[in-house]
Amino acid sequence: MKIGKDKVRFYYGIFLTVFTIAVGVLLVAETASVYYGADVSPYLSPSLHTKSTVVLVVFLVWLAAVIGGFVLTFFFPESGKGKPYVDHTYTLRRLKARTPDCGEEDFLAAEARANKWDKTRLYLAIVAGAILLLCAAMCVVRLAVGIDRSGKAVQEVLVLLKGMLPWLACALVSALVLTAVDCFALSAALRSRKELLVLGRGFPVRERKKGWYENEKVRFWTVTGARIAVAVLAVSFIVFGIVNGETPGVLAKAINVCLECIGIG
Amino acid sequence: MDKDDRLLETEEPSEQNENIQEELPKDGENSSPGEKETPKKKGKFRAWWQAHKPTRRRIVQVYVALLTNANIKGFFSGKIYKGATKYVCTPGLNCYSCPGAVGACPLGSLQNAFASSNIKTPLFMLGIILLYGLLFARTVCGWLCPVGLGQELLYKIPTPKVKKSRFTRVLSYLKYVILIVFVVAIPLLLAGTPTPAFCKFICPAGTIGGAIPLLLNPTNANMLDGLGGLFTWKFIVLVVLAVGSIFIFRFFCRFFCPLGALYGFFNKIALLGVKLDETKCTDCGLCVSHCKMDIRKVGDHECINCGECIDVCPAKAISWKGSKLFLHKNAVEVSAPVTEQAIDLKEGVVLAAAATANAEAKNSDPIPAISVQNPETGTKKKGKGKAFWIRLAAWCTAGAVLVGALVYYNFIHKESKPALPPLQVGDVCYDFTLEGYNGESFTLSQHRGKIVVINFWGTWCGPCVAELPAFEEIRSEFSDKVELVAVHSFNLAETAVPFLEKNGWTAWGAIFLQDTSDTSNNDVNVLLGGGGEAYPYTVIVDEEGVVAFTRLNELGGEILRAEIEKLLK
Repeated sequence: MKIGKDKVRFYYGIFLTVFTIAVGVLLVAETASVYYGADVSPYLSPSLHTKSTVVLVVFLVWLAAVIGGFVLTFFFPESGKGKPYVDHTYTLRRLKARTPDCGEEDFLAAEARANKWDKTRLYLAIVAGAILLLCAAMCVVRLAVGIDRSGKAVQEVLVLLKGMLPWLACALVSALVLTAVDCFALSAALRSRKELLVLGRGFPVRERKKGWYENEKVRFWTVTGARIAVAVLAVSFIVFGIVNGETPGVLAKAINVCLECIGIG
Repeated sequence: MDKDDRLLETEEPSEQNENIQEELPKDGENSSPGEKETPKKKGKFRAWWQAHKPTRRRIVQVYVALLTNANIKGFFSGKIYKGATKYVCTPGLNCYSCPGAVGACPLGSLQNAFASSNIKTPLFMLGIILLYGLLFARTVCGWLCPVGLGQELLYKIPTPKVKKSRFTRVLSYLKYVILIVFVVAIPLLLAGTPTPAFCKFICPAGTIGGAIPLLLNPTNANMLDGLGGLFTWKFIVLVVLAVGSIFIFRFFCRFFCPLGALYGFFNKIALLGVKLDETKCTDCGLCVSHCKMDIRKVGDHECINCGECIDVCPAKAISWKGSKLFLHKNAVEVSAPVTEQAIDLKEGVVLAAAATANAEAKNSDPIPAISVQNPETGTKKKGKGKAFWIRLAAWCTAGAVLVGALVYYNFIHKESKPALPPLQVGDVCYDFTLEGYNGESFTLSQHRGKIVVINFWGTWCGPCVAELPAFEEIRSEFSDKVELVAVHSFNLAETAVPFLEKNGWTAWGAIFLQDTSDTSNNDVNVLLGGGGEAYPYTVIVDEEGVVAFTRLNELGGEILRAEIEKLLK
């Protein structure tokens, strides 16, 4: 039975995916067991050597599988790039730009429905923004109010993060749910706009007024002005910083091993 | 089928793609079946090489990674570079605890600047970030960041990939949250106890670039007993990010990197990067569909300025900023309208129709298609032009700089060696004399008969500042038998007295001393086996002057108490 090249690559890709995730899970599990399996100095315990050897062997086998995958791409090269990513908000924008200038009753009714979906999406965006701002404000409040400066930084930061986690989780869940809802709203908006194109067939395209920001000169001078302002700020901050004696602080941190940054201590 | 009908066919782009792909020869199929075996293999290798050869961007990424980690001998010696080039921040993420690093990390330095904001306003680091933002913005991510290079190489592993979507676009805002909370808020609010929260809890560069090379070196065996929960957490984060990068393009960059978030604010005004010519743009969306980042538009805050969209744009509306100064203008061939050109590019009828629709909406003729060719070379000229010589000079200069850096850091620059062999547990402790801040001097040998706890610390070091109060409590509990000596590093020595006065530590019974301001590796920290490059470092000397215990990292009150009680028994 002749096996297609695409199928070979596909199944090998699936195998490598599963293998990679398994190796990742093994690494995470072994790392956690090293820490939770010892009372004192977990990374000095004798069992670390055995665990490290097991993990190393598995890792080397995985590496061999990866190299095998690269060799496979030489003999069975990719035949297509798959579906391109289509951003439907782009499509909606192009459909809006094509809105016909028609005064018929059924067209106007369809346009009212299309505008209603646009408003729905706008309200969704406002609600999402409000929820995210609220969660961000609560995180900052928890940080500012809850910090104990007695010096036990690690414990306090971890306690604070635990206090902030519900708000962070709330922000993430809200963002994902509202995005999902917006997908449905976008599909409905696209259908409504297409309906307009069908109903307004034969009519000319409605003229669109240009915003002030679409003026090339305004944009040029805005960008140039911003560049000059940032350049002046940057140079003056650097000069004042050097005069103020801040550079030894940069050096002091850079020439000493930051033990907490690399996970020690 | 007219233009409106094409625009309405947004439901079946996949069918269109399949139809188009059927018309084109598939890879691996030879158009001339009668060709011999050897030319077929050559053609296959050539095709593989064309698909996989390193691009200019990849060469630049590898070059910058080598240049910013030119201290290769550090990986063998287990020591970090401590020279003057560490005043300079590299533009990309590169942990300064990496043995190879020759510059400072901008994010780590920024967090430390915020953490020291109660002493000095962090103007210098803010100025550096503004300067890099103005010059490069997210071109750093696409061209200059070693962490970005690592992720792109991991992404090449041939597994199925998770494509971008509206959800990944939403998740890409998580890095702004990390920027505000971990990089700005926590260091600022905990300014008394310096805590670079992002470096400490999230950054994978510290684990892969710093911890692993240092711990694998036998000379750093004394670091192993300091590994605990924090290392476990950071290693797990590293594994998750590495595995994620295999399946999701630039997993860390897109969702977690606060440096990318910071540079993203400058993308529109940066001097380097890609730009979109709105007058030429037909809004076909090919650039967005081709790009693997979560962009809405070329050059927005998610764009890493990799330039891969430049060749994709059929209207040649995307170019490099400043390209008119250095490169030839593109040659233009007026051929078929954009619609047919877009079909030839296999991206579906709907996008091509949209191009025509937009052109009509602008009441202009369809933009004449430009043959897809390298925008930098344009038409072939006879002989070598000015651009060739400029490019050659640039490559030669870059090569000379890299070779010079490698030679300097690995062969010319030498760290001075300690005058005496490093101290071990069981050795008689070297005697030393240091000056205190009240003018009195301290000599170790004059304190025989008491247990002396010598702690080397620094005001910039969070764990040092965190553990000393606990040490003072234990000292006051065993005050007749234990002496606590806190030796401040010669780095930032001038900050010690203001820090002690501000926190009321001058009222303690502990003896505060200043280490010698000697950069030739002969300060007391090095003398007593600390290496002089990591803080905190604690040495416990028993009543006979013999070293009973050493710990290179945060010790904590409980372990100190246990060790003292062991000695007193």
